[in-house]
Amino acid sequence: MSIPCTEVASAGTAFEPKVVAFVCNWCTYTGADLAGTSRLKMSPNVRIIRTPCSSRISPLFIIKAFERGADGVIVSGCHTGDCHYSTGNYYARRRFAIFRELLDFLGVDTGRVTFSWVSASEGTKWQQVVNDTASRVKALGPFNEYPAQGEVGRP
Amino acid sequence: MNELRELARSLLASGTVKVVIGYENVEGARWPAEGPRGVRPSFVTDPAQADRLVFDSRCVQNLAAYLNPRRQHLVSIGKPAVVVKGCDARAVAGLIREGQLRREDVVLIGVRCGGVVRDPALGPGLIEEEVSDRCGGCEDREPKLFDHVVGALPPPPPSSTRRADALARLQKMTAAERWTFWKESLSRCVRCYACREICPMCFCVQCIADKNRPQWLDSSPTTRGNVAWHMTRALHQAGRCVDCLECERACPEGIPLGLLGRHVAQVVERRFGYRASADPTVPVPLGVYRTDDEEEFIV
Amino acid sequence: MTRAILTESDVAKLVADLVGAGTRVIAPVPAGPDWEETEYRPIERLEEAVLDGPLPRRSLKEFFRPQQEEEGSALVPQVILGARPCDAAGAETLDNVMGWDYRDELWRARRVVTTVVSIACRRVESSCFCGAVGIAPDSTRGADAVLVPLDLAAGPPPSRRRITEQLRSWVNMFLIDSQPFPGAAELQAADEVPCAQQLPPMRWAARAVTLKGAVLLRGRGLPFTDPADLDREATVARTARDLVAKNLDTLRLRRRSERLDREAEARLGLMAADGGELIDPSLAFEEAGVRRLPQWLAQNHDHELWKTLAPRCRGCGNCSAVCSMSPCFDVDEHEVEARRHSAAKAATRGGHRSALAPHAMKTEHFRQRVMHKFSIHPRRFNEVLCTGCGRCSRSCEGGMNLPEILGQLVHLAGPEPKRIAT
Repeated sequence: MSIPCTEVASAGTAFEPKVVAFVCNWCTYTGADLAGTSRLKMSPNVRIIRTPCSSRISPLFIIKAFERGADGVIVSGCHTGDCHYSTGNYYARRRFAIFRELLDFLGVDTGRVTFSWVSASEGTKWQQVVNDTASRVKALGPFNEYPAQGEVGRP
Repeated sequence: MNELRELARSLLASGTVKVVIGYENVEGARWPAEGPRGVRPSFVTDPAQADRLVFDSRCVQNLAAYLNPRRQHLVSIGKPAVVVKGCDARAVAGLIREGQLRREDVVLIGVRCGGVVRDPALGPGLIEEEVSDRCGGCEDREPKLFDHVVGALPPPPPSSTRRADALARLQKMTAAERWTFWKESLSRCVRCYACREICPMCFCVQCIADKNRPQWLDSSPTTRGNVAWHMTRALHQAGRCVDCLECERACPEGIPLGLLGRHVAQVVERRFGYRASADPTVPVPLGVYRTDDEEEFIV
Repeated sequence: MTRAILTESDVAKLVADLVGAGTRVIAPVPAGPDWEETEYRPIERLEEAVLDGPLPRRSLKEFFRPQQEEEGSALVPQVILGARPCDAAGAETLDNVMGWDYRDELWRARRVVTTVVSIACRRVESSCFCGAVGIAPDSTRGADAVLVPLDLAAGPPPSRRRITEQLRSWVNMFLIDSQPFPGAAELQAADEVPCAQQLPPMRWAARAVTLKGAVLLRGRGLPFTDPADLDREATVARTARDLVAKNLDTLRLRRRSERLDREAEARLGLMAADGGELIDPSLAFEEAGVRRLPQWLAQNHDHELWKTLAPRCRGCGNCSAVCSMSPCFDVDEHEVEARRHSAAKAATRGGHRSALAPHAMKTEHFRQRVMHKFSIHPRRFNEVLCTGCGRCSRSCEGGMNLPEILGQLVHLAGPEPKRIAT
């Protein structure tokens, strides 16, 4: 279900979420590029970081993104079976499955993290992923509960 | 016990091994005891000293940690024999599986186990309040990886619902409540890395926590850094952790690290049907895949 | 020397006054799921503290050199109430290290704004060996004021408050046919459990050791007039010292000196090192022989003993984390200029921390630890870098028992001091 960008931008509240997207170069990045060249309206809240493969994306990237102020994260790669490096996304799938459940166990709202497979030709799907994530994270609010730099538990 | 001592004696006397790593009684004071109590790891090199070795339900320590090839001072003694409970044997299997140890470089003395206490200063009688969290439902009371097996199979350990209750309590909480719990627990961490040092499966020469170019984790014990560290360690242990709970015992702050490890292990078991195996030829789950792995969380 | 008798309400008022004035008051509080554990934490009211409990989990060093400390972090005046004498002594001994070749201003500043009020031990753990290293359960070293409890019970009397809280937390565990037992609700609501035995109110003989202590105690409590109190104070101190001496016996850190006559000694070619003076038996430190270690250790760097001791060590660093004398820190300059505790024991790691830990073999590492505490530091500063608190032994996962090891070293270091009859 796609939420047009205009609704996201004109919601009227001051909070604009920062969403970081880690995407694989061969499928999702190209798909995002297609979305751009097709002039599809997408939320400006998402910043893309390109990696060679979804398998390169370590949970530490996601953790670091939250540490540095991201309110939401998108992780996206090729559909399974289509990985440019044949098998990278199979490994990534297992890794992200565990990571996501660990995040949930710790108490992070998994609405803040989106995992997707977006192929090079799926420009509209990328638009959907971006807009859905941005509006969902916007509704969740800023991720203030994540500990800030220098915050310590003991006085 | 005599079987164990005899075996140790003969292994040493014949020169098959240069050291037997097992457990011995503690001599001297140990808190909170009223006198000498508990067991500690033992390194027997002289066959005449083999009588020092004991095995009972106080033997909770996971001796596989001593097989880390970077513990030079132990490697230099020579080929070891290690007394392993079934669960410890899975850690040894992990070391062999991941190329840290060759099967032929260690002699495994398996002991049949009826459960162990939470802390070596407790016991030796095994009661529900004192039994270790990991003993419930154990499938390795008869060790599955060994060169020799000693001891009669004792009755199964009393079951304790302590950990299952703790996990259930956490699951019943809202995400926000869980986050508060973990933030509070992990903010107490002082990054002593005792959990890492004592873990048999943490053997990286350069730990990600020690890298500073680039620096992935705050090295100071900030809450943010502590959360990242423990998340990372739990993930790096996914499918490898044998639930020996040495990390939890070593933690000077009493952080419930066993809950993190257990949860990740449950996820791995549910999703990939895998549990840290005593068979070194079974691959670690994150190193393999199935084309039909579940991806319900991926849009 | 200021002396006074303080009651529990005097101390409660002291705490309230200090907190009201913005001073941070730190005292042992119950910690962890097990009520038998305590740790030093800031308190707001005296009721939160446990002044007669077991040795707190960690020492005082985190209040002088916090786990993480940034340049320019604010200083709050602090009073540590209920420090154990070993912990107080530890802080003072560390002043040597923190001020000899480089004056550590952060440390110095915190020491200046902190007043340490120690409470003489009535309760001695089985791992305490302070007597062997020149400290005693009633030592005043490092303390600005000392409180000696005036009541010697068979064990420390449990505080009524603690019993009440403990029972309240247990009430929910006891169900009869899934219903709370009769009286549970009343128990939950009770402020205090009625006790069959009337517990005597706590009293302490307070003594100021430094000017800071005198300022703190000024005008507090009642004058010390009852001579019976002097006896009580001495009894408590003596009993605790005896308990420590018993520990040293168990740990083989003290041996009965054999009495030899001079002729026999001449025949055997033995002479007392000190020329034949009578050795006071209460000087456990002398008998423990730890004083002989610095020299012996310096000469026995490659002794076989180290190889047999080290294998059990897994390098977890717990000993260093809980040690009252281990202030080792790393400076972390990445995003935040801060320093944090570092235990340079992880010899299996490469990279950042191994630069501080050049010992490839645990043998060297463990030896270094013992050397530093009992040879290197004493040779430089004339005192051992250990207060005998026993935390290292209690927290060691490999069962390394420092006092036991000391006993072995002392045994190797030479014959016991001989007591010569005069």
